[in-house]
Amino acid sequence: MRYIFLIYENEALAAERSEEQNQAIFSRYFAFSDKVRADGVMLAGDPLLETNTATTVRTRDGQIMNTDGPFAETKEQLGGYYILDCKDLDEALTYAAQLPTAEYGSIEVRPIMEMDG
Amino acid sequence: MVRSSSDEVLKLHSVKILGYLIRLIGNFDDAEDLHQEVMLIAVQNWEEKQLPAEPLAWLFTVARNKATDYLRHKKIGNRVALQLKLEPNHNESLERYLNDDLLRLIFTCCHPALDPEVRVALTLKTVVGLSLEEVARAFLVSDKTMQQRLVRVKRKIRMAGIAYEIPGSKQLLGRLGSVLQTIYLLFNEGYSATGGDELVRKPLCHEAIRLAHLMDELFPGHAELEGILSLMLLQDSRREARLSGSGDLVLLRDQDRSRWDKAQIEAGRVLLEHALHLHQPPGQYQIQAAIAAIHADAASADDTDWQEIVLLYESLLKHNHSPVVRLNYAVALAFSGKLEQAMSQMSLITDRLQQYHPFYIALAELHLMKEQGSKAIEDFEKALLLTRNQQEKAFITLRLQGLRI
Repeated sequence: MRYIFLIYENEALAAERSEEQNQAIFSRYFAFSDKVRADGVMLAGDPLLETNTATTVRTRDGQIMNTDGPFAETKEQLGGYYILDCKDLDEALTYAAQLPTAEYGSIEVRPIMEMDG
Repeated sequence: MVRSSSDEVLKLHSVKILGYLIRLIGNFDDAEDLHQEVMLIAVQNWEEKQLPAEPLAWLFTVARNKATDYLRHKKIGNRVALQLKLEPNHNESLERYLNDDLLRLIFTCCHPALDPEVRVALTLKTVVGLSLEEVARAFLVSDKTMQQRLVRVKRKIRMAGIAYEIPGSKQLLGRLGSVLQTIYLLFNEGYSATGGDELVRKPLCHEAIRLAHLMDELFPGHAELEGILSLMLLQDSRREARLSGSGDLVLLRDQDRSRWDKAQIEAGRVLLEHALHLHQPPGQYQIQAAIAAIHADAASADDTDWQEIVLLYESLLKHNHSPVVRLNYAVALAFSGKLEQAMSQMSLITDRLQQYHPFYIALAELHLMKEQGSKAIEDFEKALLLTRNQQEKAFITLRLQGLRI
């Protein structure tokens, strides 16, 4: 079953990290990516640029509205994702708990709707 | 008419068959429908004739046949049916085979990805076998609300890919912890109802204890499981002394200890001894049981070994550093004569327990020990505003009246 792992953390707090701390976290993410590739479950995964680079698009009544920023103001912001092919929810949750951001942010684990055909 | 112990045995057979059908069919709803058909056939047949020599085997045969028909009808290929283990191996007892399915059912209903209260509701409905009305009443919601909750949770189990399995060794500790948490939540629903007038809803305590017994029979040798059973037996042993004749709450220190269930205390103690002798790392339930055992050992409140309780709470905090545990630790410190340490522990949790009325009750008691009556009155008043439970309101009001004289 495919699951998406939505990685959330508070950007303001993240911005206060030192270069050293950031490098350490990136190393751990590289290691995680290596591991899930070796385990044969990795389908996709990327970090995202901060929400101040985001644009939110809505079309209503034929009108296109572009807003500067994320879709809503939230306490934690989406910072990256993985898509993994896991045996079941327990396997997915085990991977989620190994993500560095799980220690100070939140990882939302969501099944991907499989469409046949 | 079947005697009540036969009813209990039949209920147990019934839920094992349900566990089996859910594995074969692959979802709760269709399995529950088939299960109802099986039980209806049983009731019809067994009323006319006698009970079969082996009721479980009889039920199993009917269930297996119904499941096979269902799978064939749904054109779920032979390949899949072959993958399903439809019956025990020749060297495996039917009892053991079906016990595993019941374990699968319990572990699934108590999965940590499900909301804790919803786990309790699903377990009550599916494993314990309460009716929808009974489960709704236990949670003080309407039948419709409870039904929607159960529909949603079964959907989550299906859609989120919660596997119908006994957890492997890597996940076992966490998954078993989730089962224990669910059982204890159920027990606490009975032990101290948070809404309504009844402080003690005995049936839920009884069901929690039964469930833990069952779990221990299916899954022996787990010290924390024995610990939680011991804990519940010890706490429940006080049920006849917790309420006064007029239905008011009686504090532990004021309880008539002759009304404590001595046989149950002994059972709890024996179980705890056994758990400790398994020499598994001590966990929060064994430690809490040990604390309850110290209270049970004391002939009177004054005989309580508070020093030992303090040490146990210090251990407990390593496993469970919730503010409520620290609150109980503070109270134990106070009773062991370390009032200032108690107060400093209380200050550590003030922020987090602002909405928790037992915090203010405990703080009031500590202020009384320090002879700060006016502060105690303030604390009791805060507690009164925060509790919705009639018996607790009555208790606090009485204390306030006593102080204002």
